[in-house]
Amino acid sequence: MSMSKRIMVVAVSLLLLAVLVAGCRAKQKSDSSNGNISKSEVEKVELLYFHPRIRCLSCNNIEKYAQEVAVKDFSSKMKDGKLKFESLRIEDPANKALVDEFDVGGSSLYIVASGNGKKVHHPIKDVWLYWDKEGKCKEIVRNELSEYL
Amino acid sequence: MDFIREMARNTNIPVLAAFFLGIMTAVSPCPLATNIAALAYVSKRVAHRKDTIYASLLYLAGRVAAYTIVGALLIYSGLGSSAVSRFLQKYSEWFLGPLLIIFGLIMLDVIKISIFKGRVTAKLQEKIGDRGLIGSLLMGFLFALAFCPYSAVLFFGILMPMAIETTAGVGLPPIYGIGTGLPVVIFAVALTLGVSEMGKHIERLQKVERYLRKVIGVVFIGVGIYYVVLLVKSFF
Repeated sequence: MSMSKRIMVVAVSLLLLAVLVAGCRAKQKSDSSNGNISKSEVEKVELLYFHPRIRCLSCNNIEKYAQEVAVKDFSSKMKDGKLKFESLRIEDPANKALVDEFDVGGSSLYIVASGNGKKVHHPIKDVWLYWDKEGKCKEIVRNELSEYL
Repeated sequence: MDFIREMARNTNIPVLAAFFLGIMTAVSPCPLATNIAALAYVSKRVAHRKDTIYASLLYLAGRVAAYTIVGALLIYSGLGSSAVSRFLQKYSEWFLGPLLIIFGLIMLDVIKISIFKGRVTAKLQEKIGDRGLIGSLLMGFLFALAFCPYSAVLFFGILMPMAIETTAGVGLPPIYGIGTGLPVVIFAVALTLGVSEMGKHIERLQKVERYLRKVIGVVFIGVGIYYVVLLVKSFF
């Protein structure tokens, strides 16, 4: 191996090592919710699904599974009006206020729990890793909703 | 696949989470389509192992560069992640499909373009243009920026918040980029290894290479049509 190639290999290795070390600090937990609300304080829960106009299979699946959990597993709460599911198109001007409030960048699933003068937004992120696993996806949504209902 | 999901979701080592988020992006529907097109392109000189490997590594480098730039912009400039996400998804929505179709038509010689005409020697054209090295780098860069709603969730919704919270998290987007392009590199290398076993039939391989350009053109047009159909369907 020529000297210049050796230098290149060493440089790339050092760069990779630097990146590895740089990203290795454990992440600090941050509260992804906007405030705290206890189950007893919750009066209303909204399950909001934001989506752009163009979607493929993964995004359509998430909406379908989330809606099915709300309608089937929390049917009594839906009937009482304590739980509401909404699918909101990001580009629709009628949804602009909500899109700005949640600072929506694309497809996203949120729980909004309100009561006792409080309002909490909680993004459900893990569902996106299981878009093709109906059971697991629904389990995540169910568990998240159960924190508030 | 479950292992990849768990690593992407449940780790206190952000570097691993970033890498596996990249792998998940690579195998999800829309990015997978562009990766297939990229694999076809970088393998166009499959009988020349070095060219294929260099092309696939440059494709990877293009992806890494794109995510590094976007990540650094979000971390250091204070630009809103959601605004950038929506902008890049719009670019993907309107340009990616037609761009792929045009590129496919170029590969099929329906549209003829020579960017090097009258500017560099024929030798340079042969070394870079025909070998597809610059094309691979640019392709990696452009495809990385073509966010679909799902890849936007993984990058802007999961990776970037983690990068912002992590000390020196600016190192995470490049790792994510490696994850997104690694399957193409692996498959390209596997292809060349498989092809090298057919060394005795090198003449036949060289004949195949001539037709491969046409196949690549068709693949690009096919993937481009997929994106255009998604766009058109969204209006109904």
